[in-house]
Amino acid sequence: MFNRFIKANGRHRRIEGWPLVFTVLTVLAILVGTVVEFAPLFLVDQGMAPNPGVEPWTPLEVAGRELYIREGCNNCHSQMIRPFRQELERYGPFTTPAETAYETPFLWGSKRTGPDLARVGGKYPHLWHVRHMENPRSTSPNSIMPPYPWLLTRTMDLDGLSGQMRALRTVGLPYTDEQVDNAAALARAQAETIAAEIVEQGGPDRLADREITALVAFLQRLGTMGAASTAEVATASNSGGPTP
Amino acid sequence: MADTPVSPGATAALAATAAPGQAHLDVFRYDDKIVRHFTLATILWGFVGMLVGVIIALQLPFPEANLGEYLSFGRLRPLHTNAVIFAFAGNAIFAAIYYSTQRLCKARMFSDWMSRFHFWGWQGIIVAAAITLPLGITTSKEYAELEWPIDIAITVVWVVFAVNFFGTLWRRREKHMYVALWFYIATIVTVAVLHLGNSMAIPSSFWNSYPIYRGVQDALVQWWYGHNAVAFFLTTPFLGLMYYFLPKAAERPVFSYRLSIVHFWSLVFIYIWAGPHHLNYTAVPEWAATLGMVFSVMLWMPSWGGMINGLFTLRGAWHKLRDSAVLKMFVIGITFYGMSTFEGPMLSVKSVNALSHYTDWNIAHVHSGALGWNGFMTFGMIYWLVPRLWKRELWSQRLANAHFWTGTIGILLYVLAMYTSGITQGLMWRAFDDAGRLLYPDFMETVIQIKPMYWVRLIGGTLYLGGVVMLMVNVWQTIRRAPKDLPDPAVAVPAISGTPAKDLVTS
Amino acid sequence: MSEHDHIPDPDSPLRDEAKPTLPEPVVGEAHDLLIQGHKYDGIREYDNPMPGWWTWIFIACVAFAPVYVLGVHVFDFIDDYGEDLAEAQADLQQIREVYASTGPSFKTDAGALAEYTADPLMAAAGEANFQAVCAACHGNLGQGLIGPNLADDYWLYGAAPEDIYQAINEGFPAQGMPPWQDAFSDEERAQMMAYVVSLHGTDPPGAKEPQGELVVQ
Repeated sequence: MFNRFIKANGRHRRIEGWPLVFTVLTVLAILVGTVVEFAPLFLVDQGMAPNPGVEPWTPLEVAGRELYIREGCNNCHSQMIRPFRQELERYGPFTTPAETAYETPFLWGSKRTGPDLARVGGKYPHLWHVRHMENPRSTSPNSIMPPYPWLLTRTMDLDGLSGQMRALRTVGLPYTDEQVDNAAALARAQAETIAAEIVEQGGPDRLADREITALVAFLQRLGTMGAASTAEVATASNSGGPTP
Repeated sequence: MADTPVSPGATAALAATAAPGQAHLDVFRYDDKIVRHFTLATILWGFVGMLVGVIIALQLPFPEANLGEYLSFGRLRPLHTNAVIFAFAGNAIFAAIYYSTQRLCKARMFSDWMSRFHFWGWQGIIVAAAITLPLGITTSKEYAELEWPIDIAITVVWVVFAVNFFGTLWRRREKHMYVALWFYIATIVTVAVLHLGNSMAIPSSFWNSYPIYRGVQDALVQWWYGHNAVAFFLTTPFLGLMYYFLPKAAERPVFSYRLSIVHFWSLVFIYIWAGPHHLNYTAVPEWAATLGMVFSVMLWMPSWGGMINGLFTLRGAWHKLRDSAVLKMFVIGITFYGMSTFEGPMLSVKSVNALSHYTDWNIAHVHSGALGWNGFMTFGMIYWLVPRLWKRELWSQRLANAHFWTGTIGILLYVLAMYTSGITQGLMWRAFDDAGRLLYPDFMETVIQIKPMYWVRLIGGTLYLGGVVMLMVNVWQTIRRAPKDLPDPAVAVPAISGTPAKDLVTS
Repeated sequence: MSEHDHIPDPDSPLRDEAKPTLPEPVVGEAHDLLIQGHKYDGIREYDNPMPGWWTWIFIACVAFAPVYVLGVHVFDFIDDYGEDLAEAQADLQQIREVYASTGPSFKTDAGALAEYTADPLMAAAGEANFQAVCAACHGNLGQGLIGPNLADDYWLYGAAPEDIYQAINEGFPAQGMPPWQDAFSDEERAQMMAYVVSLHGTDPPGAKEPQGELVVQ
């Protein structure tokens, strides 16, 4: 039966003379796997409900996330801790679907040229990040990370922030009108706070309107919401890893 | 079904001499100019893409080579991957498709205007990528980094390409489609589906947008796309290329028609499922990763079907390898295809993936595919095509052989360095001491350990780029000596009644 | 003329096109029969079967798939993520318990710690780990960067060996200093402590301004 299909002048030979039929069959062949793998995730919304306590990014964090993307941090840093004991020890509790429910685009990464950042939030003081971005080797001797000194000199561009928040709301992030309309003002207020903390830690003054502050806001937020509160993760990672 | 290459002056006479009662001969010309365009673009962008690769390979062990904002690793790495995949490999498959489709269909391309639009549109997209990526304009989604206006341009150009290709099938003078065309069909329709599926986004401004998918959905869509970009941009069109250019260069029949059918359909059906193996152990549901893994394992033999049909086609022609740089390159290309399509299923197995993922092992894997399979299949095709397109013997066979050896040694250094680095770092990350603590708690220890391998990789990559420079010199010297006037070759084949022939030579 | 798909062009500069392009079909053998009518721009195809080993490995891989899927997700005879992790964690726990009961005992009482500070070999042994993790915030000479100066006479949390040892063990997460007791052994942390003590009074260049209380030693 199968041999009749594929033999020298078998049934397949006929399809080879019908490009349209051949093309339709090809499309069907690739759609089977596509539909089977996507349907459950999209119809059942599996893993798409955020945990209680997971908030969408603040306006300043949105701006910081854009910088993370602009500089291509995700090329070398993952944000996805796998359920292995060595990763729980090194990075903290593994990442859950619900924690990432507001991530668009997702920034899980595919390569760890540098360490995972899924739970880097709160691990270092703000000033550490400032110095690390200015010159990674000043805080981490032997680091091979590129320096990003321009983040300390370039002024934050908040003009597009309301538009970005609006687009994020369209794709499902629960922002209020107030957050969308006053995005830039809210971002500036949070930046002032962070900049003051940087000064308190002995860092340079006048970083409130610099890009670095938005990036620090984003980094300090990573992995601090939603995960630790769930019982599932707590039991899975009761090893007491070295870092929060 | 004989076709007859005819000299330009004789075309009208030929058409007229077809005696009544005999099959009427259609006389038309192949469009080889467009193939020359795509071939030159392949070489140019190959050099650029690989040069950027060498630069970022230097930046890893030597961060001082990050020269400022626009040339830092995070911005150049997507430029490297996009240039090599879409500019180098992209132009190569277009050259292969435009050359072979016309000959397999016995027809000129459907529309010269569309061919030109496709060529210049694609080059415009590449230039746009080369400008926007260093500026930091990126979606961050791997191999889909270009922002939405460029995505729309890609869609338009791809649709024009598809119409041009399927129009040519429609006007073909050959009843049946050869296996190379099957692979081209799979390429064109699937890349369209993948591109549209993964690029769905809400713009916030002209150069910024957010995917409509979030979290695990976005991850799954991205790697459905990312993995199948490998499948339908770097595998199926190159199998089509192999099925045309290898038997032509070896002058041997294809090993097995039945194998062609079975491995084509199984490859196309199974490949699309394999994407979630990029997300093993991540937050996507485990059943998806399981499907990705088992379909990757099932994909092993369909992939090897292509390798077997390639290598076994050379039975009885192995002696030709000694003199033919083209065949040598095809053989090393197909061999690397076989190795990386064994390695791929292996890496997708969860327990192996636990070690390899996030390490340089993946970098070794993709480069054995890209440098070995895509690179050498392209170079083999170019060395075979250039004398035919420019009507001039290749300037130096010795230089072509030197390219072969330089490139091969380059790849071997590259992948061996990255295997060593990947496995070393993977083992260090998971090592515990006998007190139950991480043996290397400081990430930096694992970086210091693999830094020497980054230098070896740089040497390997530089050698490979050196091979491309040899290719450029050889092609340049050949073209310089080529005749100035290169008319499209005219051919005469028996007409098929009912075929809407619009490519006839009238004068 | 119909025997060969290519009529050589006498003007062609290409030698290989002047040669006949195809071998004659092999007649009378099971394999390598050319298929009639399969001619595409000179390319012909053999009617060979698929290699047996290829077919059987393919079938084996296809058979493996449902076994694995059902094994992980239905009949549970293959570990899933959670089971794998639980086993690995249990192993680790056991390693730690065995080590705690049988491993070398290393004294960390106040008296022992004070003795270590008098041993220059202890301090020297702690330098590498200090440079690896502490220097990032305290400076490579202990002069203080983000973290306080460790070479002066002022201390926020006590200057006694046991105070410093405890600081290294537990950190000050609220201030940004991580705990190190799971990353380094007791002995390694005691060495780091001894190294910190040895920095006292070195007056490194670029010293950060004093923080905390003056401790006269």
